[in-house]
Amino acid sequence: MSAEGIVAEGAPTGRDRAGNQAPAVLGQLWRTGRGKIGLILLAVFVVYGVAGYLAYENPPAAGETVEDRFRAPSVDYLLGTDNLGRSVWEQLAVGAGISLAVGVAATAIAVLIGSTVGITSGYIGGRFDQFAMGITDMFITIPALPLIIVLAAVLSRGLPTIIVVIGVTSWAVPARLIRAEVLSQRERTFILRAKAIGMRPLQIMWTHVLPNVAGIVLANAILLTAAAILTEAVLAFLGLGDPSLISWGKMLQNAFSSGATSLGYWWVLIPPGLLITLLVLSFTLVGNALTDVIDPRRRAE
Amino acid sequence: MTSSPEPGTDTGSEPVDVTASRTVRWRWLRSYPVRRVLQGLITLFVVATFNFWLFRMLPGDPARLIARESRLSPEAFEQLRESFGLNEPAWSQYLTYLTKIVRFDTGISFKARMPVTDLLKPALSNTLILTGAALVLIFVFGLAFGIVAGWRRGTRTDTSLTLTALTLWSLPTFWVGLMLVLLFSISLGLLPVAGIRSVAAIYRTPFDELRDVLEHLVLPAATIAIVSVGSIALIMRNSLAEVADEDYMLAARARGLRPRTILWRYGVRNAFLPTFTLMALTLGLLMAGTIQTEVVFSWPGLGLLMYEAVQDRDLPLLEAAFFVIAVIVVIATTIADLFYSRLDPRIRSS
Repeated sequence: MSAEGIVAEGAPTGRDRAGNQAPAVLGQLWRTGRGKIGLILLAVFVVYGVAGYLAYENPPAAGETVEDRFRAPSVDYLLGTDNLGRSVWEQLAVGAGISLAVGVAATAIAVLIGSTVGITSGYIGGRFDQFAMGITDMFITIPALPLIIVLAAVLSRGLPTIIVVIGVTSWAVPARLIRAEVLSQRERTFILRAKAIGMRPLQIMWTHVLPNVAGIVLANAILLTAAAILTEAVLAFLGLGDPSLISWGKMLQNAFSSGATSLGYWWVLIPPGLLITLLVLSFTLVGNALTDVIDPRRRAE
Repeated sequence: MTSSPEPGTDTGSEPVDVTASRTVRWRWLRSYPVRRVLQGLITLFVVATFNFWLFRMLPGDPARLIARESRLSPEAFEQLRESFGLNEPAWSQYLTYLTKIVRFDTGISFKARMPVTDLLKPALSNTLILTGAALVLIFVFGLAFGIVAGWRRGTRTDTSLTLTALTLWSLPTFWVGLMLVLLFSISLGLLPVAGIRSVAAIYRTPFDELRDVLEHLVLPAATIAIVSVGSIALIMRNSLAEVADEDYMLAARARGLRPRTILWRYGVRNAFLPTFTLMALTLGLLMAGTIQTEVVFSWPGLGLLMYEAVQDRDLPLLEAAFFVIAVIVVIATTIADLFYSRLDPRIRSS
């Protein structure tokens, strides 16, 4: 693509664009039905997670007698008890914080790696780009969950391991997306202008390229968070979670391995999964709506 | 993990060397199919290398890992080290490892005390049966929903189908499995809870056996399909929506063709190609669903094998199961890409 054709467009500088767009994007997001539902749900979950963290210990205390095990929902125990007599209600409340924390922290790692690879690869181009994208494609091809299971099984058990393992296995798709975006930005006027006045590549990337890809990075990060929360639940369900903490996936593992399914104890099976679904859905809705707002070509008109 | 960039550096330069060779004799190497297959092989090579370094070099060595699990005597420990070839230098262990993989010799399972290959073979076919059945369901329902939503773009049908698709995507696969068991097996008693065949079943005819396996297959296949059908529907919807703005669609409408003809002959036909590629990309995701489903339903496939290997800390088995899953995904995506490139010549030149 020749630069001359785009000069007439007179693109504003990167920082101005991103700065002015944020409130407008939020407004547009709110006006999409999906965005509104997602944002409300998300706010509810954040409050729930913080409240649960402050109100209860993780893990909640076990029941005192054998009769406390698998109690059906009642006035004393709103959602009954699990195989160790622990209140399902309390476990749900402490699990929210774990899901949110793992989702956000793992995504932060993935986005950091992904944007570094994507921006440098797209900006430098040439052989470096070929090489970096070769590795990125490899990471996209290698099935993520089996890789995560292997890593989590070999490394020491714990929340940090899970966060790092999910983070370092999910940067490839954002890297590809960001690179594509950078390629489309690279020949724009304001970048060429910055080059012409002698700005250094790193400076240009930081002040001009990054703000312009911020929107797409954010939208993708929100979707990644949804995926990370699901992955954490799966790992906990497979017994690869932090053994000392209760999370929603761990609750389902306890229920499954103690035979609650065959016994038909729905109260230990339905609530955790429902909350995982709703939390993941809230991120998915916001991420999906945001993608459409940023990229109007895909909007349902 | 620390070792993964290292093998990447070794292999990543290979395709560059290949494309850089300028002699006419080697030109066929630059053709798309060759490059694509090579890329797949390099990926597997990297996975194997990663496996080697992770399992042998990271947390102590496997002998120490087993010793920690089973409290071995010092003599037995030394013998174990010997049998793993751990007293040899790392690079020679690595070469031995690679030649073994090429010969499908993946070691002895710690737990079962038999060659890992013997455990993998039946598991592989069971996984392929399950994944295949799920793929058929995903294909049929995903495309159908996607076509309806894409064709009625912007209507209430489209909005609600999109919302449904996003919700389905947000479901944890293993939980869907648990819910299906709770509903169809426990409450209604319609379908079996777990396994691939009834316990101690005696089949009078092969037809009886087929029926029994199919009954066991319904819920697991449905579990995988329910979660994946949404994303396929969305992909189909979006590519149909993109195609709808093309000039030939306008031309078809201007010629007064029936809407149904326009949809099928011009819309779906052209929208199918991008959908197909993206579907191949979701194969890794499909494997993720399969692993969880196999655990919930005790379906004796690679996923259940991996799960059991994790429980028993059976490292050779875990490593091999992971490698086989990677092989399946790499082969499937390579075939899909090659198929796609035959149908759409633009890919080959890029």
